[in-house]
Amino acid sequence: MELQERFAQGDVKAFEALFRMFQQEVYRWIIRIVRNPAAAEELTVETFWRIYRSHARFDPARSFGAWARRVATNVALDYLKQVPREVALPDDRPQVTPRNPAIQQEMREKIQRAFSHLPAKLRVAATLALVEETPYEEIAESLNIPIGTVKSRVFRATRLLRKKLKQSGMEP
Amino acid sequence: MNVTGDEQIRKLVKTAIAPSRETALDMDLWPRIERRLKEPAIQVPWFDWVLVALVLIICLFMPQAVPGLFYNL
Repeated sequence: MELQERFAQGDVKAFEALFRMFQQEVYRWIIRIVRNPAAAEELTVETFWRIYRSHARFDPARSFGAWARRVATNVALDYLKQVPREVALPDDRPQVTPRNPAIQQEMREKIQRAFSHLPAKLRVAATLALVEETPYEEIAESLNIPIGTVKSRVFRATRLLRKKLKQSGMEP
Repeated sequence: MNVTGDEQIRKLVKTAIAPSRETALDMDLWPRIERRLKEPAIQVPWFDWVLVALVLIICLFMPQAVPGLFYNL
């Protein structure tokens, strides 16, 4: 019997094999969304736990990886809805020799703050599309929504960011 | 608001927020999953079952008590 079929029937050994095949991929996907390695580890565990609990709903004819990514996206989304919004984003952008580093830094902080205050759904779409440059098709599949909805979320996120930056005194 | 303005925002976001680095998990997470698998499932105490049975019996033999029950929920 195929590994996925055995998993769908609740075989723990098959689940372990699938876990070992996909844990890195799921972790890397989650870290793209939550941008925090410690949280990503915990959320990877939570993702596979949810996967195991809903093994009976899994269709063995379909891709396990795509399903795992969808569950991971939902887990990451739940996390983003719960955590306080003032989470520092990693600041490892290469410096572009600004004319005034202080202004550049202030601008960066304002953008990061405005970004972290976006509603979770918009933030996930914007992070994946604008920051990670993930193809829209991939985002749509992992969020289980049509491509048009992804584009609309990114558009709304951009508009909201523009508004928030304007309110904070920055005129993009 | 125009398209150019939105495009500018996208560029600003890209300059302000770095994409996540390709990081690999440096530990095996299976033991944590295994621990969860071994945890006993949540069990409902027998007393709760008795309460549920009592409520059902009351609803069955005294239907007039149902609105009062809902009111107190």
